[in-house]
Amino acid sequence: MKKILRRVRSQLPLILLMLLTQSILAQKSINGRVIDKGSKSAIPNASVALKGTSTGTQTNANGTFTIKTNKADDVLTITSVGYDAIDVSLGSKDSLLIEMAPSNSTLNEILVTGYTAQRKKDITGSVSVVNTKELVANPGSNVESLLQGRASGVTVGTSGVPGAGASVRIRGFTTFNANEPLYIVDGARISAISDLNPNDIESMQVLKDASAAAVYGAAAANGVIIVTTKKGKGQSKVTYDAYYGVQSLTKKYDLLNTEEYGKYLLGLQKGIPGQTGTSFNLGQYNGGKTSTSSPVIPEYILAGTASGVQAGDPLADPNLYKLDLNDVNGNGTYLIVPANKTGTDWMDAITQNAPMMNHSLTVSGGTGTGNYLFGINYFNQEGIIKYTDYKRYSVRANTNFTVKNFLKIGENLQVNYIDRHGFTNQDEGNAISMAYRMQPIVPVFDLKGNYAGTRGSNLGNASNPFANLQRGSDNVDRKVGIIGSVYAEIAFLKYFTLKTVLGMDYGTSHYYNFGVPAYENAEGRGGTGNFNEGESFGYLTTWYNTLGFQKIFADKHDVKFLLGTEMVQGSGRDMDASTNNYFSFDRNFWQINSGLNTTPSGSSYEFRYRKYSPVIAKLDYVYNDKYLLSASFRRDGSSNGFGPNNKYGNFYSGSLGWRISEEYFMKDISWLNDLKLRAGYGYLGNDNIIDFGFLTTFEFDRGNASYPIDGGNTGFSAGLRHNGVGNPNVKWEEAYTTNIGLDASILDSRINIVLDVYRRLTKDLLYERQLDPTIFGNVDRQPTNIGEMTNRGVDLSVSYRADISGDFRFDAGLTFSLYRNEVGVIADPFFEGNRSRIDPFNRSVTGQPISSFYGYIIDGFFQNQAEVDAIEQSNEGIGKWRYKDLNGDKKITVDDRTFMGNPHPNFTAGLNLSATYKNFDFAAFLYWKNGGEIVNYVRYWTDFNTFQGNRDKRVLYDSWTPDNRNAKLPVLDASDGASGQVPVSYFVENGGYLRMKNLAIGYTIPTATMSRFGIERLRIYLQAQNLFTITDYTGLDPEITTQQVGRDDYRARRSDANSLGVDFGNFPTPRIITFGLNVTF
Amino acid sequence: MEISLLHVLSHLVLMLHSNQLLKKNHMKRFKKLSLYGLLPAVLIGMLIIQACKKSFLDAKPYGQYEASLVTNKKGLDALLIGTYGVIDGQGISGDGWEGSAVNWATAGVAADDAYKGTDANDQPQMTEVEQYKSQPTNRYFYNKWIVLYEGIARSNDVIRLGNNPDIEGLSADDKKNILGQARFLRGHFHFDAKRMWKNVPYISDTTTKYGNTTDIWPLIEADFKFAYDNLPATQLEKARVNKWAAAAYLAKVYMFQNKFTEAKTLYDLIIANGTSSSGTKYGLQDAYWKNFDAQFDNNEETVFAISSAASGTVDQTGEASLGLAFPYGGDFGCCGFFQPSQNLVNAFKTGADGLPLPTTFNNSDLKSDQGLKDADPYTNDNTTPLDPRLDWSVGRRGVPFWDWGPHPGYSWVRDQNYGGPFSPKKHIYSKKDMNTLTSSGWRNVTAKDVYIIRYADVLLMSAEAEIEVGSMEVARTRINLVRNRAKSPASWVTGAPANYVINPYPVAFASKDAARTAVRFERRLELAHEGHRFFDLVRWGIAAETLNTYLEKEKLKRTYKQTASFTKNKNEYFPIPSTIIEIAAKNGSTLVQNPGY
Repeated sequence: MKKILRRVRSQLPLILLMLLTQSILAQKSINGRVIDKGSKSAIPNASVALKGTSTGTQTNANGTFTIKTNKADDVLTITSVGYDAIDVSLGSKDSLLIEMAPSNSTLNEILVTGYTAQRKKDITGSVSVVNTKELVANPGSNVESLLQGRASGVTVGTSGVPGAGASVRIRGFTTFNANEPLYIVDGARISAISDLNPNDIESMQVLKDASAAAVYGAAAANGVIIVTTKKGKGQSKVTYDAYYGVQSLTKKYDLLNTEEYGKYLLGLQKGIPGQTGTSFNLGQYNGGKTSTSSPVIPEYILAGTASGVQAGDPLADPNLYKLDLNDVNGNGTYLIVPANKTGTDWMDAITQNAPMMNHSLTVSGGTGTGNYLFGINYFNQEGIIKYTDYKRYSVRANTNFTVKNFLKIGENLQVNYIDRHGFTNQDEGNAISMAYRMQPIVPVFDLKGNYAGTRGSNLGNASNPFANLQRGSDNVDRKVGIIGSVYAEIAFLKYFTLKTVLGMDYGTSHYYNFGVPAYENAEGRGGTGNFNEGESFGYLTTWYNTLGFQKIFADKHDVKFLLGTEMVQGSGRDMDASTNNYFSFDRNFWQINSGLNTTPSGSSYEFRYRKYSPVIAKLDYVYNDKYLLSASFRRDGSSNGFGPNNKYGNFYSGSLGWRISEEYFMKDISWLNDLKLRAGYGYLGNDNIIDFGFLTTFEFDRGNASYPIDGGNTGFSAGLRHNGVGNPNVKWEEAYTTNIGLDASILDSRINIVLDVYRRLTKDLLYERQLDPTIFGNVDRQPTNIGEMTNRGVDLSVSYRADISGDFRFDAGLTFSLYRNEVGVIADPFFEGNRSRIDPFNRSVTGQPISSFYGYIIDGFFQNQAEVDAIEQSNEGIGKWRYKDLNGDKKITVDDRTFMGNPHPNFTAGLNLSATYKNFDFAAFLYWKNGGEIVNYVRYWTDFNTFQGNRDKRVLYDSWTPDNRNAKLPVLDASDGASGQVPVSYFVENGGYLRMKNLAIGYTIPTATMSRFGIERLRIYLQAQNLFTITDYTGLDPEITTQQVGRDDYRARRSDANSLGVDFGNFPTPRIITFGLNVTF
Repeated sequence: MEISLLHVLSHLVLMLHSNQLLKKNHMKRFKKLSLYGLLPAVLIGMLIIQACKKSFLDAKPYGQYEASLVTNKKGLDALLIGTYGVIDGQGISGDGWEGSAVNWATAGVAADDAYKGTDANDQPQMTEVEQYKSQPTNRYFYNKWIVLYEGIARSNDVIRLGNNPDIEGLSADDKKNILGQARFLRGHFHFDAKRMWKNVPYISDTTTKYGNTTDIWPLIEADFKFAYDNLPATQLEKARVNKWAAAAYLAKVYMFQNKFTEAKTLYDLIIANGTSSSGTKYGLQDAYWKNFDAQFDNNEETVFAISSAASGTVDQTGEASLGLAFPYGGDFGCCGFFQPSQNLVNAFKTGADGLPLPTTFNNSDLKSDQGLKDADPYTNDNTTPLDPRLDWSVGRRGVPFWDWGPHPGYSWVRDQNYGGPFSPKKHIYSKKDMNTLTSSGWRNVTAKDVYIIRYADVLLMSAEAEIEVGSMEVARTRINLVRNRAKSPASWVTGAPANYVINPYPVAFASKDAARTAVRFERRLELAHEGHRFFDLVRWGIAAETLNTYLEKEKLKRTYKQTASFTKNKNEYFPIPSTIIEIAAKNGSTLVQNPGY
């Protein structure tokens, strides 16, 4: 034992815990060595187990192993990735030489599937296996966004925001609430996996149907993504992976320049119905005077308080210029801003070609008694929007010890430190939105190089986005996170395994930001500096304990069962302080204490994750490798979701498998290696609804329930308001899944097919229903079980591996996903999504897909007065849009709205091609989203008479005129405040696209050359991501995420129903050209 | 029970520890048993027991109170304060201006006193209202509806809890006082809804289904009658409503139904005996402008006002509903809405006798700086006789604007060509009050109280009632009280380049019509921009003719008004929000849309 210990110490410098002291078994030792049948080289890390038991070990770097047994009739099962499994009878031999044959088949791969692991060929549920090698070949900041197109049945919505997460949907949408899957990393529940280092991932499985996921119960209704991080193996080695890439913007809005904007203003004035004037006031143009009908660009847009100032005006004397941040509205400030006569390209002003880089250094190794992996990672991505970035420094330490044949202990841990400048995506106040809300006449900088903006007349109310970004660059948003788990596994009584796993997702963040007086803005430039600082922390722990049993009876009956308990809990606190009135705006005074305000404000609050304490049971039975049965059960309670009557739910699933290829009548089909038919049915619960909605509660509210009841001017009394009306009967949402699948492996296992057809019926849908405000007032939405929804679909993945010659290898993989969603009978006639500046676009009704687009259909233009008179419509007139009169009553009312688009794609597909020729390797990945419409809400800002922002070119060149009667947009009219102010079909566009997500070429320098330098392997590669996109969509990027998705929403339940498929100006996915290298030594 | 990390580790340690202890004993057989069976069995058993403990899943929400926790005296009063918290219309639904108690963004711009202002593209929903093209989908009405019915729901919370016998220590007087205030507020919210939409449902503390085809005036009256009968004349805290506020509101409710006799009776009582909540006898303040200075809040003229507090970072209860309606330039920065109309400015012209010119005022425009920039020379017309209240109601170039110095004209207006040359004034803060009686964040949030009913309003309404069913001479006296206060030089803008000439009506009115014209015109002048004008016009039945006449001239100045036209028997009331109708239908109630929408 001491010897073992010494060896362990010498080889595993990271050992922290060695708890057990001595061996207690005295049995016969069997030594063996496992080698490759062809090359006769050693196979390290092969798994060696006593067949039908939980006792086992691994081969070391030399392929040798030692295992103890007390029975001569034991059989050893040896498995290793890439080889056919082999059974060896011990007999009386003390030492064995075992040769393994390489295999194309992946059927014996062991997959982690919820508290336990299974051979791929024994799986009867629906599980997508992500090819992690392909996944990490595509550099990106987080795992979620890399998943797109990599697993059938998985839909991903992303943005280009550095470090932001993505919305991941497994098999479409099944609930009105959040459709986020459950993430399990090394056994622990994680709130989001966006901070995980993709390079650390060993394997990734997506559990899609109830029979696969049921053991995870309540949280698994939207599917489960199981991530296992890497383990060390074989001889100690060091790998270094690095890349450097440049990201660039691929598309911009096509907006007016300064001259065109003047023409547009003129058009607006001329277009006012009944306009008889011939000279017009065009704001800044013509010096703000009603003097001429052709726009004349002024020399200055601001000089002191004057706008539209012409050259030579004494008001624009540069000597008058002054700027005092403490007196931006008074006499201390006199700004002079020259007009940008050609036009500012605001998108250019805020974007850049942004570098991203990654350095990963990993040390790993392993023996039969333990393995370790230690890695450090530095990832730095700057955004294509200036001054946005995401830096991650992380350390990974994974260690596993086989302390005894019967005892394994280990841990998996990532500690990360994240420093970032984020971006509020899909928001009208962010830099992308401001870039089209700023007029081209406004320069970025004024006469003296200070910021220029909308200060002055008729420049709108946007704020200089470059100024906003640069001012935010010293703000801080940092986070320290710990994701990890520790486990112990004890094998006993030959067939039993006891496993305990404690997982933790911990995060603490710190932020501060300072606002200086934005002197250049039309609005909100006052103030005396404000400062805000806060901290928060939160944790989520999972502790589960399972008892496993596995035995093969009579050589044919392979029985496995698992019993377990689990506890999930977590909570967190937020603290925040803010003040204002700063004497100096210098960085040195960015603290609460430097604010001169006598009463800084502070707040703190606590939140709590839901707790669960389920009991788990699972049974797997295989008869003669031919007939498979799997069943699972979970009893779950939800602490925050439901009241005493409905707190607990019992969930179950069952599935059957039939390996037809094992039947005698199939044995002779030589091209068929394996064929399995699967069928499963399961029932899962979902408690994803507002916390404590079963209770009627009241809250003291300083914001909207307080009142200065004493009549004073400087203080107030806090009052109570009703929060919500509780629904004590709210209960688990129930999802019933039927899944029929086929796995086939043909042509010497070169072609593998996984096909699933499914139907998922969700009953008692949970929904936060708006109570009638006329009776209940503005109360919180009430959780209610409202109806049904059905999701049907097909998932298909096909992989092909050709081994044409020794020099040339070729692999292809295709994933195909299709789902059809239909809202069933629901309690209300409809449910609608969030309101933007205008009414909600999304509406869900019986018989339609969830969150379909709803509004007026544009039925051409009113071409003449007779057409105007023929129908009663608000905002009517010659050249205005005419809406379709659906009920034929010659009157356009709210009853003439209908469904005008579907945000769900017809199907999505991913095609992965990879090839190697000698030392070269190539990879290509194409992603195709067919159909699926997008509401291009950006048009609200750029296409209509909405605020005084910039306009799309089509507004000037394709608005209705008597000479252009088949235009895109209604007639220009300065008095038209109604066009585009309701959801109309004009906003809806085809959102389908085909994108070359990845194209890469790599070269591995011949080993012979490198080994002299002690380098085992050196590969360099060049890669292009998002090289091209074929789409009809006119927005920046058809790949959009749902609103406000990201890791900031630490606790938010991301409800898709509210803004699905609506593009509020999504941060586009950049094109990235990357150079990288992988070194192993 | 809570399971902490420490807890878990202690179990693991215990497990291993026991393992070692057993080994030390060299009890081979027992040891074997323990390792292979007993220990895991114990561990599993322990875990199952812990996991199944029901209390583990009993969680309570943080920071929220279950109903049982507020079923007491303190909770009852806190709920009442929470109901007062709704009157300002802010922070409930939508933006402050949409729920504003003075309805400036809807009824305000629909009247002849103000334009939307700012520029063409800002808040097009408001332009819709200004052009009498309001749509049922206009979100302003939706949010206003929600605000009012939230106020009603909170009033009902108080009424239900106040009648709950489980509340200990609630004296009969306390109960009457609290229920009186709650029913006053419930009446207030219903009243505001009634004048906005006419056909609105009444929601009591027991309503579960509703319709809007029954006239709810009797129910509103009942609430104010209850308040009048049960409220004390004085309150410990000044901002609580009292008996006399209820009387004045009830009289106003009568006036809206032309029940002049009932109104007159009440007004006589109020004028004879009425006091504010702090016990001060009702009267007019000595200077007109003091009504619009936060330092003089809660005075003898306060009948019912929205109490506001804002000082530095304490701004949650500041007056923000008018925050958009500040000049666009100067310290205010935003947002240039609610600009006074030329018609309103002209209305303040007087004859050489110091009396208003109700028929001829709009024949010519009072001189303004329209078309001029700050730097262009401009001199005010200081010969035309003017009512001094003009320069507290309207900011115009050259006239001192509170203590900010003379209004500079062009640079304080967002788009002069669009919204005219004038700025609103009454609710704008003074320089001296910056950061002390305003928020130090967004300073357009002020400590100025907003009047729902002030005593001048009571006097003028009572004069109307007198004209109809009482004495025209009494009416003249009451109108002259208001005019004389304005006549006092204390009510003038010091240093204004203007010729103020104002006098009381010297002789008896020639006829009932003349008297009506006088009192109606007086209301316009005295209460400009205080949330009355549109509803007064509708109440008098002269909205269509007055506003269409107004448009004839304004159209020539404001091109966007060219397509505007007031439709009689439609535009007197606003559309009931379509979403509200849909939600009502979903819940088994019925709301019928107003005629014409």
